[in-house]
Amino acid sequence: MTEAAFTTPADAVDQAASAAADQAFLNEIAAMCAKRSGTYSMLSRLFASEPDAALVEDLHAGRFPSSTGCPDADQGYRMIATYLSGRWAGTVADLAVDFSRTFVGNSADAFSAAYPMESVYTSEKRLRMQEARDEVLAIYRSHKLDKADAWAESEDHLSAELEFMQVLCDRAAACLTSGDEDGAIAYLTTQRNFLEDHLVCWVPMLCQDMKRFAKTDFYRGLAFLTDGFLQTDFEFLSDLLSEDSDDEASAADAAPGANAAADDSTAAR
Amino acid sequence: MTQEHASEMEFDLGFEDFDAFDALAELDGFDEDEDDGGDQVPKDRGIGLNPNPVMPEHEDTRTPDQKLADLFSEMQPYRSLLIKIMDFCLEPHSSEDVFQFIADAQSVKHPVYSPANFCNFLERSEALWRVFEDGAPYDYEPQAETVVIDGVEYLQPAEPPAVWWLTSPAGVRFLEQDDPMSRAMALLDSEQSHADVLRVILGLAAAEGGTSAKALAAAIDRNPEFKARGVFSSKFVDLLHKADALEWKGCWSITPIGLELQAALDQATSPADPEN
Repeated sequence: MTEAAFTTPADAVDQAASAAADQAFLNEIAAMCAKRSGTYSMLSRLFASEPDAALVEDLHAGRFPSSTGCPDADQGYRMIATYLSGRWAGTVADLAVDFSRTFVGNSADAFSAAYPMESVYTSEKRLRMQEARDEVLAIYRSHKLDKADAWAESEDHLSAELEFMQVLCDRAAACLTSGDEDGAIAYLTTQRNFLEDHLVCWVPMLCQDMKRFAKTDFYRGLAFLTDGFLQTDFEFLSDLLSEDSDDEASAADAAPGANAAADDSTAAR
Repeated sequence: MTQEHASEMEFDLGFEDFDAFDALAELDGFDEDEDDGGDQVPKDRGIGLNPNPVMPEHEDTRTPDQKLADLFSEMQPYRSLLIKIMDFCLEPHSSEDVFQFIADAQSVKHPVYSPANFCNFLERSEALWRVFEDGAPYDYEPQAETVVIDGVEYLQPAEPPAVWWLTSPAGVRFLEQDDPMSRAMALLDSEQSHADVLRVILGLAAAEGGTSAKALAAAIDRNPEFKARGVFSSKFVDLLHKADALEWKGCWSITPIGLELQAALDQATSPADPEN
């Protein structure tokens, strides 16, 4: 089909409306990416270290979604909000003790805590700094990211992996608001692949261990929330990107010989 | 057996000799799925092997009196402070008042434990109860509130009621049974051979403004007579502190218990004056 030599005013109006609808859709996705970024940021912080007094106050003053559509995430939010409803002067110390109990343990063996490192859950002998760490480090560096000097843990620590997802959410949102759809697709595809190849492979097992070791509903709730959120996010990205692939496939079928952008949209890692 | 040079040995490695060999003969009856308890990950600890793991809960079967006794045994350096807290809370006091009382009583620049920590220790030992202002048991059940903003429901953490603290019946019993003078006299009995050391330390602590660790070291550690006996001031200061005869207020000061102990020592055989 060749392009028409002339366009009518009606065609121009249709094209403008279509472009506006497309941009509105992109803005909506950008807003969702911003919300996802906020959730990844919160989860990353909670796994990095025990909450201090300021964070406890911020969490207590905040609001949590009541119904996300994911039962595990809803239960997690409910448990955390309920725990914070009983906060007192000793809450910071209580959470510090439970953080240590849950993630540090007594170091007697490799099974005495829920160690939040991917290598522990994906290596045969539950050791740190194994292949998983090398893999994620390569992924970070391919996106011009590296470990900060102040970060003392390994690169495959859950906090670092969640922060990586947060960074990609921010970059995708920036691309979407500036109209760079291809760039956004690349970042979102990276996120989906990272979830599929890394996070959803081992985090469910970590969350299971958290429910064993944690004594407070704060960290038990965090286990439910993290597990549910990652599963939901993976489903969301899979659906979003499959729709995008379907749209591009339809366009390719309708216009044979036109640019086949679908094959180029898979982001390099 | 004679040693043969390797080159002189003849090896007959006809493979037909191995036909009768069964490498798996010893493993007849071996079930790959059966756990032989060797180097494999134990089933009850391996990740993913037990889909519903349950950590056995430690059940504390101690009575409140036993818990209190254990607490004071484990926190001997803080004995007098814990007693003061329990004594202060014989009437209900707000958390702010209790924490301020503890902060004032600690009188150290960088305390290891916060006032909330001490309340937590005593609460877990059932020496202190959380109560409302009227003294009623603090039976508040945390519950997040549901708020609706722009038609969307959210969970908002509620503000819990103020916590007041009250000494429990077990704590009151402990206070009534506590006899610090007996413990001080027991120290005197057990350290009869070092009564002169105790006398020197109490004498320095009784001075106006108390005494410093440096002064005690000069009087005890560098005293030839005490040095020859292998006596060090820190050990006896610790014993006197745990017996409530000394307290730290920026310096070591004598307590009323310490004054009575000092009087008891004066009635005993007079030791050699270390200043002579």
